Amino acid sequence: MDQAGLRQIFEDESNELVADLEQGLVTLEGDPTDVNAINQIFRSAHTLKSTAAMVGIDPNVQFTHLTENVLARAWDHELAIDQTLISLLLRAVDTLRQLLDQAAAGVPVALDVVGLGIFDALQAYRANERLPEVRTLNATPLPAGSLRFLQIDMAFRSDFFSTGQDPACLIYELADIGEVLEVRANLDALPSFLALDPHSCYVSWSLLLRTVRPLSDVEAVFLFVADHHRICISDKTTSNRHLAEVAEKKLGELLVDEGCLEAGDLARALLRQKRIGEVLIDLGAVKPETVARAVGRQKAARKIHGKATIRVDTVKLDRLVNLAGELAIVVSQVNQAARDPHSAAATRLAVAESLDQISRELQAQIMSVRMVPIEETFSRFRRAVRDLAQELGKHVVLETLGSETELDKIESEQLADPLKHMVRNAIAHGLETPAERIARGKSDTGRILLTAVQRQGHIVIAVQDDGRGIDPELVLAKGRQLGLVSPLEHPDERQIFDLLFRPGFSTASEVNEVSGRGVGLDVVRKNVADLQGSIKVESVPGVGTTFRIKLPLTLALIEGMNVRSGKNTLTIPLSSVVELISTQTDQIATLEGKGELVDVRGEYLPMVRLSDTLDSSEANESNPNDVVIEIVEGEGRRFGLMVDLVLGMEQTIVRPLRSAFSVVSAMGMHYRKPDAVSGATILGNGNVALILDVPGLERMAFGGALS
Amino acid sequence: MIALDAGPGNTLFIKEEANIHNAMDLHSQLAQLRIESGGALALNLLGVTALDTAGAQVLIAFKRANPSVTVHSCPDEIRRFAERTGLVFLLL
Repeated sequence: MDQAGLRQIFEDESNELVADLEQGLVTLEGDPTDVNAINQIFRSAHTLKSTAAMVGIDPNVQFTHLTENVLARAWDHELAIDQTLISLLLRAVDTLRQLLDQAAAGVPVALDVVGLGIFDALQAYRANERLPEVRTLNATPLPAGSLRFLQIDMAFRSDFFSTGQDPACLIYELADIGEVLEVRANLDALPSFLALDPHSCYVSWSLLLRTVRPLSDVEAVFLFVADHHRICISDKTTSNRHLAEVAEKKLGELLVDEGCLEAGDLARALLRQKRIGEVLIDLGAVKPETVARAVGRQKAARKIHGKATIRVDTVKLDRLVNLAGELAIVVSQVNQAARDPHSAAATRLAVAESLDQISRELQAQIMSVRMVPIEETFSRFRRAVRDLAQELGKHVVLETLGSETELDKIESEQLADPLKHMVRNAIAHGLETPAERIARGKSDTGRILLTAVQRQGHIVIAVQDDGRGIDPELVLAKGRQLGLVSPLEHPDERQIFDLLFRPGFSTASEVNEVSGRGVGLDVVRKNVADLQGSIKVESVPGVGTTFRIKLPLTLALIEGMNVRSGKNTLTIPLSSVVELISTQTDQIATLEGKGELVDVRGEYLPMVRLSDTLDSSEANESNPNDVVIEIVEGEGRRFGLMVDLVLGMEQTIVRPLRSAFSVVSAMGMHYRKPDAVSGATILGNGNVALILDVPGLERMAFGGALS
Repeated sequence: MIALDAGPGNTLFIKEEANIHNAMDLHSQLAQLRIESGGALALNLLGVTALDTAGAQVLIAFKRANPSVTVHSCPDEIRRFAERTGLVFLLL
């Protein structure tokens, strides 16, 4: 892998680790005894430090190391894990993110004034830390970037190998930051062959390193072996000064020093130095506009390249590899059928169908590689919620549901800003202050619920709060005042709420410094529309508000529960399944005019027989008294869904219904109620399964009577 | 398991397909060799693709114990490792 590839992996990994660190800190603040959170924090901080060391971003190494030490003291109960400490650590996370951005942009990585302040604050928290046992002798003060000659003596404890490290790696690291001019291995301590313990380290080294890097960079090489080494760095620059000076100088400067060249001639020569593009233009090899275009393209590509990677679950890659294998087999069959003049038309057709099926599956799998769980986006808001709630003196809990729902990586990233805006809106305007909530008989802690579900070929993402709600009368009055609604118009509630998305619209209570950042709901709607989606708002004064974003689902992955009903296999999205019960038919009662009800621990829930819904008359004949009922939740309602058999769970690729329809029809299956089906999928055994749309099924089965 | 294989002309092949990072195994394998006094043994390391300091220590100690042992074939990776770490005794 080339250096650029390595850097890209570093950036991707580090960004994820920083997000994990942030998430862990917010969790830890809620429960300072949460062992999982502290483990996650340590793991993230340590890996951040290691990866930064690997690619040589030393400010990150130092900063993360310091953060890690403060965390260690906190975990050892030497520091109280309180809001002040967590706030400082979160600011340290911000600084780390900033340093990573600098590294990604290719600019020198350095702490700014704010970062230095945080560094100092962390230093103040750090005490009694055991520093690496690195001794630096005769350090010569030199300007940054000056050439140094360092003699480095390294000896290790005999159990050094047990740490999983190898001294050779340190030598390689030193070679990365300079030139190892001389290396001497001391084998005096090596015992006889039979007395040798292969697990013990006997070798020590003495090296001469030539480097322009600061001493701190050299010391940082030994950051991870603090407990296991004796390192002595001796600055030998003075004794090698003449050599250093010669080595440090550029050719032109040397020639001037030696009197072979006039300084003026050197300056004129330097002015004639050209970039490769200019040289090529001079040679007539390319036109200036061609060079300009290429430079522009290069800049644009470099800008995009930073976001052009995606982590892929190895399971997905394994599926791709399997499909590629299957494809090779089918291609071979196609070749055979094409070359055999006696092959039957039916055989050729069957082979063509196989090829078609596999290529479609391959296409779907390749597309699925772009899919990421929306959890990645949701988790970003925990910190924002925590910060804003503290800023506004509100108590807020953020909950998520269906965060395993996957959507396209690009969609996920483009949704982050609109969602964040809505979450901020919910905290700033939707949720009341603790005192207000208590006065209204609510808990003093407001709740924001982020949900993602796949429904009817769409992904629906909702931001729901249990706050004061939106008063449609106020919105309408403001709309009339702004001239958006004429006095003669009498819009319904949906139309009134739609005014909220008009540019420049805001009610007096909505404008404050928190969300008044130049991005209003009109921008949110535009961002959603750019993704071919729609947004709507539902609100009940005093109860809360829900913003619902609906995005078209050309492809999505869901966790599904495969069930059998009659001869049909169906997939029920796991996000809709509340529980699974096995019961007897005598637990099912029929209520006139209400249909069948199932007794679930004393609670009677309406029930639907899936076989009836799908026009499948074949029922479970193994034991007609035993039935399996899935308790599912549609649009806020729970009801029972009787199936014959539960086959298991698997991750399912949703195919749009339109393309699935032809497949299903071709198989002779009937479904007269397509509202209950959101798509189809191909199971591992090659069979097609319809994907149930539970809310659609709910509407179809109960209509408006479900109450 | 690091496999050793005696070849023609007293040549000992270390046939580790991937690497020698299991110094303990290498040590126990080499310890089973009995080299007669005055007998020569050529170590062929061409099957070795990677080495660490622990493995190198074993090889060097083995060579010290059996001065007649010479390394006559060594892949570039191992040669570079020995040169960069100063463990050139390994190659002598």
